[in-house]
Amino acid sequence: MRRIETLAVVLAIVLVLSTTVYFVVPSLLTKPSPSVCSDGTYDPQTTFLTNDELGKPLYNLTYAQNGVQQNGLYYSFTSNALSWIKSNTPSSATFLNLWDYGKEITGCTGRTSVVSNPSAQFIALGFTKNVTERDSDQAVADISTALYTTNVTLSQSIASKYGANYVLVTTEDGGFKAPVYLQLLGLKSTDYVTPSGEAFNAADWTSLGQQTVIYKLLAGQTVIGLPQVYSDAYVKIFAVG
Amino acid sequence: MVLDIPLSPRTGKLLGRLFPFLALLLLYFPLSYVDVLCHEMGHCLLALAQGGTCTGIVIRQEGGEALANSYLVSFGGWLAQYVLALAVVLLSRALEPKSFTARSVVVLIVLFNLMGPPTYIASLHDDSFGALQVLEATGVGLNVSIVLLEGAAAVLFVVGGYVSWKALSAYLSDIFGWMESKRSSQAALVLIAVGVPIVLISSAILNGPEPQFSFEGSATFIALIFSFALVIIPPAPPSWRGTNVGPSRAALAVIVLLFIETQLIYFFVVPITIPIPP
Repeated sequence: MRRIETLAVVLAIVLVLSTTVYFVVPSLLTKPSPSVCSDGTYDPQTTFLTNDELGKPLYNLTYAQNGVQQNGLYYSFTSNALSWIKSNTPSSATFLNLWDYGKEITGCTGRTSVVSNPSAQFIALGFTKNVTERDSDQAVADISTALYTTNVTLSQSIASKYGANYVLVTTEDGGFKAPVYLQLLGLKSTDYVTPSGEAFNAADWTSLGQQTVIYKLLAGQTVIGLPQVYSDAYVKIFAVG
Repeated sequence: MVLDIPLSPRTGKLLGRLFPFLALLLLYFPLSYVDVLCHEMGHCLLALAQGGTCTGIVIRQEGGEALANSYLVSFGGWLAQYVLALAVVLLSRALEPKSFTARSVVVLIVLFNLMGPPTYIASLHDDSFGALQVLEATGVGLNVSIVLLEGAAAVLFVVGGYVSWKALSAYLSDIFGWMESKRSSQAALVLIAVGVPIVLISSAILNGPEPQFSFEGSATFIALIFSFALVIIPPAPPSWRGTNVGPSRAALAVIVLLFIETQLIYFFVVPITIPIPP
């Protein structure tokens, strides 16, 4: 019995040490600084929160807008895209994107995002905790429609309705997030996609799903009226024109 | 081997009542992960049994998610939790474990898996929302579907509460040997009827209705469990020279190490995706 107890203790020690060596130490060593949001030309504050679904550092973001303090999230995997936005788009530019990235677009670049918060309808589906601000049901549904519809003309008319100059999508929008937004629109998500991970995977999409705007944008297909102006491993930006 | 805490009148008043709960508390964290894994595996297994798909399980800081799709997939998580609780109850009856650690694991698993699902079912969010959609699709209408779900939750709460009460009562009798069995039964009833709903409801309000890892839920749990220990468990009499009030030293070491492991996982490892091969 004593032998078994000793073995159990040794195994538990090995488990903790393995976790420390393989996960804790690399995580502590690879935490990059959020340079985009701290470059001195704009004055947002960022504090490391945790790693996001892609395993990339996620930061709490605080910034002032018209004298009012705003709080949101800064996903570090969008860092290069945000840098590009600051350097290559007019300061008055408006972005059409899922609400998840609205705060960081405004907070880190000073540009405008059509939506920056979940709607009451979105929350009612059981998703997203700890976000107290709300955007209108109509706006969040419209943006979701613009990205997850199969009708490109409808996407363009929604972009026009909100005065959007650019569409920003991330690889996460085509992963686990996709069924959430499809459900928000009252669609049966499995008719479109069964995600296999947090990131976009073309093989997860059904033939109907492959007709959606989000699929075409993430899969690199040409969408008339939405030429691609920026792309990296995580984010793609398209001009509305 | 048991940890034999020499209970002087002073330690019998405080330490003897708190120490077992401290061990329970440390066990709560690793068992939370077991619970979440079991719940998500239930979704996967039911989906596969129905000819649906399950490509993996994702463990995040805020809980788990099964990458599964099938008609009844929403029911799989709860079903697995009840199967786990039943298996543990039957196993413990057959094996009659004597050690503090084994008994604590049994009672925690029973409490988690019999008292948790009714709360989630009653919430009408997440899995419960999925279940509501399935019921509604049968044509009985939204209101009848809601009544059916809430009714099922109430029945499961009463049945699960009764089994949990008996299990907890026996556990408290064994651990706090100086307590009369009637007092153990009353203490268990208070914990089941008042304490568990407080923890589950406060956790659901703060974090949503699915099994969660959260500081708020944990803090509520800690506050409740220690308040319970000091208020409900009577001090040991001066003559008490108790044994069997804690885990063995080796078991305690393993429990502490597993607690540390779960904290490292929470802060540095998740989110992780466990793939399910086709």
